[in-house]
Amino acid sequence: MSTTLSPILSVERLRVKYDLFEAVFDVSFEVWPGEAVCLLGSNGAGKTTSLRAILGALPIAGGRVCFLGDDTSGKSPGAMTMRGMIYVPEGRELFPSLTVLENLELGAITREARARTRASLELACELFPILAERRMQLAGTLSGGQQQMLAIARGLMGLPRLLMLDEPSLGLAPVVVEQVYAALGRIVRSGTPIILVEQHVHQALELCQRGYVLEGGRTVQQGSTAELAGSDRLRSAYLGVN
Amino acid sequence: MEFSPSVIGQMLFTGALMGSIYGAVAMGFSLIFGVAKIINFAHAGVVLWVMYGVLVAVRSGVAHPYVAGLVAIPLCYVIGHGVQRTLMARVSAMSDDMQIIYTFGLLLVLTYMAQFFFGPDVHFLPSSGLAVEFGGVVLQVETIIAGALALGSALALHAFLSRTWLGKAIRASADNRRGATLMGLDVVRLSRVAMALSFALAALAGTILVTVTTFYPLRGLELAVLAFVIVVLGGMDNVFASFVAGVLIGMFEALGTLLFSPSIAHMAIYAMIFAVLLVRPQGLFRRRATK
Amino acid sequence: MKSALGLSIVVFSLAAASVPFWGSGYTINLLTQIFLFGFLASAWNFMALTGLVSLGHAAFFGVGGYTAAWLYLTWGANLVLGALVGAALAMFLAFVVYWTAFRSGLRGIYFSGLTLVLAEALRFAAINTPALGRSQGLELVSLHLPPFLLYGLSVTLLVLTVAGTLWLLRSPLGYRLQAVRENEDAAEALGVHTFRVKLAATLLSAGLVAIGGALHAVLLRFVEPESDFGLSLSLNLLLGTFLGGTGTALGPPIGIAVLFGLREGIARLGELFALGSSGIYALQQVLYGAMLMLVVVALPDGLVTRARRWWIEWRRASARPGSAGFQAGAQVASMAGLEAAAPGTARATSAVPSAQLASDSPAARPRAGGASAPASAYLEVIDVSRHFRGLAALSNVSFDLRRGEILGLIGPNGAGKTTMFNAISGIFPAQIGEVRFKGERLSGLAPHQVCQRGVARTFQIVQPFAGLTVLENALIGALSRYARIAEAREAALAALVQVDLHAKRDLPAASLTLQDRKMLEFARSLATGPELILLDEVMAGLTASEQSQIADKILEIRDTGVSFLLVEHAMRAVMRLSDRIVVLDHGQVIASGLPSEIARDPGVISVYLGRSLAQTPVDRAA
Ligand SMILES: Nc1ncnc2c1ncn2[C@@H]1O[C@H](COP(=O)(O)OP(=O)(O)O)[C@@H](O)[C@H]1O
Ligand SMILES: [Mg+2]
Repeated sequence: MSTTLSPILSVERLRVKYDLFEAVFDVSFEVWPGEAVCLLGSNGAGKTTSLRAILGALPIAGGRVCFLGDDTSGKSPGAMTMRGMIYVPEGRELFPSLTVLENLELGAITREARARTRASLELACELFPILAERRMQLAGTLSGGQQQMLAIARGLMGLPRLLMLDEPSLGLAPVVVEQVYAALGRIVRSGTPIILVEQHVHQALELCQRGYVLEGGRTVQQGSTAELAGSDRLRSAYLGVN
Repeated sequence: MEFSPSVIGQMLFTGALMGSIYGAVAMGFSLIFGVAKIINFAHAGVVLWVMYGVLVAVRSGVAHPYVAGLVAIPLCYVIGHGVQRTLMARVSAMSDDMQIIYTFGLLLVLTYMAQFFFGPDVHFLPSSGLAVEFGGVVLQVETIIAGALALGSALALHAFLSRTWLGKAIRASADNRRGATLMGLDVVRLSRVAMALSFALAALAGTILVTVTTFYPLRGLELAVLAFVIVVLGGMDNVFASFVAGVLIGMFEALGTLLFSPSIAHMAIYAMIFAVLLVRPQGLFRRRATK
Repeated sequence: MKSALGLSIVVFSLAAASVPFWGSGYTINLLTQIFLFGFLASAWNFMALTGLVSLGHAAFFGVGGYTAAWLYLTWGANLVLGALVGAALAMFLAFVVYWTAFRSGLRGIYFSGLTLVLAEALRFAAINTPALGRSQGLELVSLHLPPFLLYGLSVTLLVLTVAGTLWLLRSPLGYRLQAVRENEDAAEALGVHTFRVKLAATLLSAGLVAIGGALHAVLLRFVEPESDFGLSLSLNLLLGTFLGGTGTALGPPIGIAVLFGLREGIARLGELFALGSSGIYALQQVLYGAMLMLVVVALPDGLVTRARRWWIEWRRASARPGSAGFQAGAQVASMAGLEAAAPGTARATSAVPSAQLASDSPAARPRAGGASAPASAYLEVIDVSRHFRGLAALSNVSFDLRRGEILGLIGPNGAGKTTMFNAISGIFPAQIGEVRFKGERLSGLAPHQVCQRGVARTFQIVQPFAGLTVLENALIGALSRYARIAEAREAALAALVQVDLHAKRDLPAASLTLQDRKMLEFARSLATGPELILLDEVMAGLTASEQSQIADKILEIRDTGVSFLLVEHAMRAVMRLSDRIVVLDHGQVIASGLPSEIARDPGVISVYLGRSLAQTPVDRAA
């Protein structure tokens, strides 16, 4: 682990409701400095719901979220982003009728990030050279893989202290997934802590050091990715067999 | 009447200048629709009240119209901010129909308050009488200034939206509101800024309208429908296209008036918009389908 | 309740008939206007019943008025004839406009804007037509009518439309209208031809408003562009209806009466302060505007609906101590929020004869004699492909479902399950490849046609008709195969019995828990008499025990001969329920077979867990 003694993010017994029903009952996990952590679980397990609640985009019905040492339950996504929690959403959620460059510029949300826009842009374009080529193109006209790269790059523009990636491989062809993960590897090695939500368990386990398994709105298992890789629980969470 | 080139040119120029004022009205409507998803028919009511405000200022000898406008624009900016915090705070969450009813209600209140206080009479400010002539086309100085200000505001707004970070953020939240929220943009604050800007535009449009046309309370209702029509033509949330559509409608109106009569021109405009709504609800300038 | 309404209509008619004997000319005139506008608002309401808001009914009003006036002045035509011709013209106009609008799927601001622009275009057309008197309009000075004729006519029309609305609300068409209002997609999926239903409502509405327009022309003895085609008329009708309550029979006239009352009040006040007619008019309009805003914010479902809710609550409060009649008792008990009514109560209230519970109950009886169809030719998906913006959502997907089978369709997020679901249920009009059911092509059919072929569906995010009762929800499904309400009600009740919702039949659907809502969706689709039910993520959001209850229900219903296609994320449930499973990934079928085979299939495991984990843990450990 790193020199700091406290986790960057700790989530304790998180509960989230959608109007009528509870999608997340009991989710707990932690991210320590420099760590890459994955949240695994089949579709509908509550991964996206948890991340959005942590970000403040959904109301929290119970439990505690601590980010950088402060209790942040009830804060807005704007406030969380200002503190350096950057979410790269499932489905990318770009601004399709803005250019690639404009999308990137908007990623620099804090004053600090905006002051460093130029440097961040260079970094992003070095990570994803295709974005530099396409910078004047409308984001909506990019291919799926390029859009995902743009979404990640847009997140990096905000100088994340914690980067939350929600299914970055969703709907991408295997070759493109490789490319995206190569870039994610570099991000992790640069020391940016990440939370990765994935369906493609294999890649996630290779990238991250630790992971949690969610099932039916609960964390049902945690451990190092090496432990998880051999776990029956993981298989049953995905395949529904015991 | 002779349809000499200079007469037609005269009409087209005047039409374009009037149209650019319509465009200025429509831009405000379009801006707030795009960012906050509010269909604000009451927008024209704000324009109307600025017209009466300027009228009162001028009649009572307090200020020249343009000076009054200089006060009205920042004042309306602030009022717009406040209105988005209060009257309009919950409107974006309503269904389209409820929004229309609500803002139409507000428009009725504004329009007929004007009638209550100022009477149903037609008002106008005497023009300076100064005119400029080139190539057989004679234009009132006020008309030229009005057109220039409207065009200037459109260009300035365009520059703001495409150059500044705040402007880009406003466009972004119009483009994908959920995405904007998730990446940390404060869409509520952006909506307030958009409403404030929309009010400021209404103030500008009201000021220059006073200097070039007659007006009366029902002008509020007429302008509301006209702004809606222009915005539909431009594609609802495309601010600059709304301005262009306004200019087109102005020229169309002038030409129709020249060839037939004002009311035939209006009938043609509405018939055209009717067809546009049925055939191309996404507006003339865009290929993307509506939601 | 029903007879009370009938009685009040009779009392109202008698009271109205007595007015000419004692009322002053002023009273008669005011009442004529109130009744006429009450009638107009009721007519406007027919369209609002489907959830459509028109800002341009002045168009039809004006067409009626102008037609009658012009025919009278030009040909000396009888006014009744004129009104009917006007109505026919208005309906033709409405047909052309709305047919196109519904075809191109206009909604929200685009639809309301269209109606607004239509009226404005006609206003300017009238201003421009010399034969229609341009902006002066037409005057009917020479008209001589027997006294009280107009009064009598407006009373009659009002009573007839209100009674008609009451009748309509309980008729098959009325239920369909309400279903469309509550949720168009769900209505379509339950076999409602939503396009036709909406068109019927708008035509009816336009025709009646035109008749009102003609009457109004006679009453005022003139037609004029502003008052006949102007926005304020449309807004008046809208405000009156919303104030009283859209979708109710009594709401529109009551709303109009309140409005006229306020208007007269302001007029009196204005006279007191010597405001002058322009000032009074302005104040009245300010009040209208303020009321429009207020209604949206504070009273969105109107006075009548609000009053009815208070009445029900009051009755509930006063009925609680006794809880006498067992039916009312059960109803009250479950209304009071006692979740599932206790088993004992449920049995006590199951008034349905036990014979109906047997497998020959209407709900379980398949629609057509499909028994002879060979097992292989039930649901066939043949080479279906679908692209979205160049991205292949489905490529050459083929599988089939046998009669009586539960087939699971699974795959990771974005694999194409929803697209496949939509392709079967008819959401997508055209596609490559085809879907057949019992040998008949489903591809190209609209959702309601798919439903009528015996293929029902449920929605992932449950979409009950929230404003209707549980029974009415099921009834709308049953109306897809029974023309008569009584028969449909039988089938609906039987379907509710099948999913144990019978005891809650009179509750508003909005008050149900999530699980009950899922059950209600189930019942609704059962009521259509399906042979195959497509279930879209029916397990989502339920606890494990609720999931197993639904699973039991699915198995139970399957035993009555219904087949199922499950699109599901909840793997445990799919594995347990399905006879066979088809796995999609990247729009392609990557495996199909028995659940046990699927769970062991390395291809499937690698899709879910990644390639290196496709070996068993033991292999890895070695
Ligand atoms: N907007 C919503 N409204 C209601 N239920 C939702 C909504 N979004 C997700 N859900 C439900 O919440 C549960 C968790 O979903 P989600 O967090 O998206 O899972 P995951 O990201 O793990 O696939 C699922 O049962 C899903 O159906
Ligand atoms: Mg997710």
